[in-house]
Amino acid sequence: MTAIGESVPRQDAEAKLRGTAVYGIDYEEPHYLHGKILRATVPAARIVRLDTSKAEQIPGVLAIVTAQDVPGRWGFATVDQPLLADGAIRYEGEPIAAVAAETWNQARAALKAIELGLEPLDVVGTMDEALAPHARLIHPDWESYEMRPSFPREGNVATVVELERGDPDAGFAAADVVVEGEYHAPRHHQASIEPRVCTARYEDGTYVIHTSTQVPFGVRDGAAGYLGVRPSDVRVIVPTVGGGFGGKLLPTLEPIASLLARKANRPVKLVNTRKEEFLSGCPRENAVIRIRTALSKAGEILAHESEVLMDNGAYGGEQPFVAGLSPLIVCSNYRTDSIRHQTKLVYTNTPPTGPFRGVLATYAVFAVERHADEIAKTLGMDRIEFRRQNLYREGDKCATGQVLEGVAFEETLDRVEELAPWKTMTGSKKPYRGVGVACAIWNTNSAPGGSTIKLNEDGTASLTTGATEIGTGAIAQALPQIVAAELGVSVDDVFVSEPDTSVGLFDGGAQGGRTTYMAGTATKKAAGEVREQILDVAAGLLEADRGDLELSDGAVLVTGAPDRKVSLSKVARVAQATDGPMVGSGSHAHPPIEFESGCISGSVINGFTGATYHTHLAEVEVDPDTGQVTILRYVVAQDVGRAINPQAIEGQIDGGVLQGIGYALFEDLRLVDGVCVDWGFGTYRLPTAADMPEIEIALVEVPDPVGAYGVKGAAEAPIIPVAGAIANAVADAIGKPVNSIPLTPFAVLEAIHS
Amino acid sequence: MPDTKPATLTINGRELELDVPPFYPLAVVLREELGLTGTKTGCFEGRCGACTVIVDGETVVACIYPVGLAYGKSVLTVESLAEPTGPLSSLQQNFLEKGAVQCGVCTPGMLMTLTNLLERTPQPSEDEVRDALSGNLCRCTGYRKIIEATLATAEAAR
Amino acid sequence: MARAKDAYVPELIHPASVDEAAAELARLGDEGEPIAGATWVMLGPLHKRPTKMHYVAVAGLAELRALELNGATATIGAAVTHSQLADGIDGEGPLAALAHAAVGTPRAIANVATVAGNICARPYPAADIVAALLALDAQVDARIGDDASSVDLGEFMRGAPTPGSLVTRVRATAIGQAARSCYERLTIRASGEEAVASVALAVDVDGQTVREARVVFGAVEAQARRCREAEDALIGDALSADSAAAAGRVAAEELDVAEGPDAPVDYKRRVLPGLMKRAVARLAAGGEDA
Repeated sequence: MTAIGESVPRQDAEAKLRGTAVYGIDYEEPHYLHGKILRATVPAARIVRLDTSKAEQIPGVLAIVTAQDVPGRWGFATVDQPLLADGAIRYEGEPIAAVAAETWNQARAALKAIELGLEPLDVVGTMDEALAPHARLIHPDWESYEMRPSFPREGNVATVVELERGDPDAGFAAADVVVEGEYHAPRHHQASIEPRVCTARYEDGTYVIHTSTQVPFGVRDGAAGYLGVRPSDVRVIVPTVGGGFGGKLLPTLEPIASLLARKANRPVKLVNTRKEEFLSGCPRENAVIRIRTALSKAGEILAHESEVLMDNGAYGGEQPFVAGLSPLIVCSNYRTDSIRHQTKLVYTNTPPTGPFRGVLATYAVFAVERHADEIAKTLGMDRIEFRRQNLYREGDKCATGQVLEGVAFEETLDRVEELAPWKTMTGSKKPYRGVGVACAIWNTNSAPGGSTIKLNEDGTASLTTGATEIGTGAIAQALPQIVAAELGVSVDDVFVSEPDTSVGLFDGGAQGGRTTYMAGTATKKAAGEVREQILDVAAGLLEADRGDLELSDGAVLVTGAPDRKVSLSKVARVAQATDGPMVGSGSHAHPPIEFESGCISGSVINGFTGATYHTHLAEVEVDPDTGQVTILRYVVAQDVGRAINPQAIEGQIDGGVLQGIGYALFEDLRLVDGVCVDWGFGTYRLPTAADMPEIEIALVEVPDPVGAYGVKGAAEAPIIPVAGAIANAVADAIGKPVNSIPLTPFAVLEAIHS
Repeated sequence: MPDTKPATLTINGRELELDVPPFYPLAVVLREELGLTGTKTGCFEGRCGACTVIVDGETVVACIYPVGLAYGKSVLTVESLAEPTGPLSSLQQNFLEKGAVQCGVCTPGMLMTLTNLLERTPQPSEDEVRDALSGNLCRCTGYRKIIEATLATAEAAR
Repeated sequence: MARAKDAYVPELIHPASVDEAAAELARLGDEGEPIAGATWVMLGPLHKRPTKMHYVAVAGLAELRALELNGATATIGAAVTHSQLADGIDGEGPLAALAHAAVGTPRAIANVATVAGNICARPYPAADIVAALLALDAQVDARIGDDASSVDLGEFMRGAPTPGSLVTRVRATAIGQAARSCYERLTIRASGEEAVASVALAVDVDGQTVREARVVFGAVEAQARRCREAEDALIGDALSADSAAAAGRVAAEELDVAEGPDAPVDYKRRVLPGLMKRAVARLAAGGEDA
């Protein structure tokens, strides 16, 4: 079992380093056409004319599609989004038509030749405007839209999540102190360096799509919905993916390229420009969070009340589903049995928002942890003491009443304390220096998955799965390590094929830290099946008892008799000749969780699976002249259940923390009246190498009862506590509350002068 | 009337004649005309650095560098760093061992920037490495392991 | 399977000499422009800037790549790059402002971005080299065909470059006998972006007292702007954090801050005293980053 816990290098590193790895942007098919999309340049309008006849005359143009060419409809939750704008434009950047031509320039010329007549509509650019009485409805026909599952909604409110448990009114009535806060967070763009890109062709009744996606099965289903065909009539294959972070979860370009390919009878490649990425790329939503907490003088939480507004943009996407997580995080970290919560997801005339690593938890934890510091301040308690007293402990209930097991807050606090003793850190306060902590509980996505493993005739193993490598190392490192450990082979002798929905078992996608947790556990089961078959065959060959056999170094050997062994190659060949090729498969779904039914509505997320625990500490210095924040020290203690590959996890923590730093300090996808201000890397500022502080990392391993080897999600979470830790440190440094992120120099200087 | 320069340039040691318009971005020529897709394009704004290549010994961002300016010059791409059947360069090997690659789209540009840095400054300080990377964005790694790999390469060459 | 070959239609002319380049440009007039690193031109369509049909490549002309340094004076060929300035000019000497201004640009851009490109680009409020050159009393030498002329950089910046002209060199001189200069740029991230406000500071100091000063702010107004009121605030006193902040406050009142997507107007105004303090601290530290 040597491979588990070892920092083996990525299987795909060499190809990536040599430049030979084929990414979505590199993938080409013979005689492919260049696709381009006509996108709305205004946020709200009625389409009164759409004439493609002149564009069709442009030389080299082989296909043009508009809403009329889209056979089906689809929605992840609510069926509210046409593939191509159908009569109405609801956001700047919305696709209206698409063309495919022999050359890129012909495609561009065709776009310019499409005649579009628009009647402008009032822009409902903000949540306040959308929620105002008599606001124009962005979807006047919302009631006719199908929604699965069906959640409460009305007008410009795309969904409502509510939770009530215990007796919050009694808690507030009995309170010695009530602390209130309102917190604001910006849009945050995934900005993977590789943009969205796909190549589609139509062949023998099947749409074959090579696409840079995190969720091939999701793209399959969405494309099938829009194309009006069965999911099996769409085959999604995933080349090397150049980053995702949530931005490549939903089908966007794929159904459009498919329509063009079928109409042109040629393969079609669509690539987003960077500007298109910013305009249409489902960033993390901007949000407003309001929290009220009732407390006793001793710091006991008597009741908790909260409200969240999430900006959905023009269309639902995954957001009605994601919103269901809101109460679990906003009402979390701290023990209380009296809770009232409401989250509203609000339509606006802005680009649809979507999942980005950590989804709503980045701002929910920012709010919860800023609020915790405000509570401690109000009560005159030490901030760590308040946390140690109130953070979830073993057996406490989370917001939905689920009883939490394996709670590791204490361990993460202890590990941070070892690295950065609180009393030392806060003992001698220097001007404009501050320290902050933030704690978080986070979920591991438990969508199901499956793997198939065959033992090859040369004693190597091939793993086939729909699970997808997007850079985290889950497929390039963790899964091969699991197979290697179970079959006693070298990691180099485990081959993983690229995801192909027509071949691999279903997988819930590279999201929510689930690949190692769910696909890894399925892979361990598959390897276990193969292992059993190997032992059966080897027991016969070695004339030994199965129980005396072990798998090691590509062979089966009899324990204690090192000369009695048979190679896996021989086992495979014997098995193939007698019973046929050796194969094992593993399927895995998470068992249902128990919670207090009836306390929550508008959500199908009733509790945590694979819950992980996190404490981050930041020390900062603020320049009072410029408002610039410098991070002097950053400490992470993260519960990962079991570290399959510590180096890969460190890499995820480094990257997640730096994304969190960007979010905390300057990333802000601004819109003015629905029009995107930051459509390039010039003003949408991604952190650079010089923005990365030293990060000290402590891995905590509290095993999960379900995940293979006790593993839990590790890659998603490190982004989550960052804004909270940094904001608390900045507030400490300047002695003023900072309840809106990003904490740009502008905002910090404003706060200092306030 | 001055001569229009012949469209000849040397790419990874091979002299090539091209029939492309001069304002074609070098990155597009490399990727689409010559099949050298190791050079990535992430923004076409000159801001992400994924397309960084070396022209006559100096780095340029090839997405906004017209191929016509490279006529008569020598261009090196990521494909030049190691022989196809040979071992990785020391920097590449350190990237592999230190875990400096995740999604890998920024990696070719990083390698070209850092290979050039190590030629100009064989023993860079950590700050010099960070400064050198100011035009190379990575969304995955947080840069730490990239910096470590660079310093380890310099250390090994000492 | 390439993009359309007619996507990038302009002609690129490669002259063999400066004379040839000047003649070509004069012939082309408004139809042409010199091009060096091409970054501005290549990004033109994205930013909806007008482009030309003919470009004359000047970066390869050795005469235009020459950087001559002589004490407090620099003669800078039009096609000298930011990297050449950063590597060639002493970051602690009288012309330090130019070296500091050149290092803010990522190397792969700095290797091709030229001095003439910086002073000819319009609109470009954050052009670092322009601010530094203004503080060093720069003169711009240009030609239209065989007619050579020389103009003060401040004057040159007032309009667009004359159609058909070729900037050949820029001469910069640090003021006075005890001249020192520096450049400070304020960014939101730690690196890799245009300044949201910058200051070029050149002073001549008599003992402790400032005898003469140049104070130029970049990225604040629509173009780099010399602020004589801030200069007056420095002259006659010793350089100190207090005098710097006072000069910055004067500038904040005088300058007409331009709206832009990079930073709010109020912020730009508010940071000028702090920016001045950093610049003065850097001068005191001998050019090192204070």
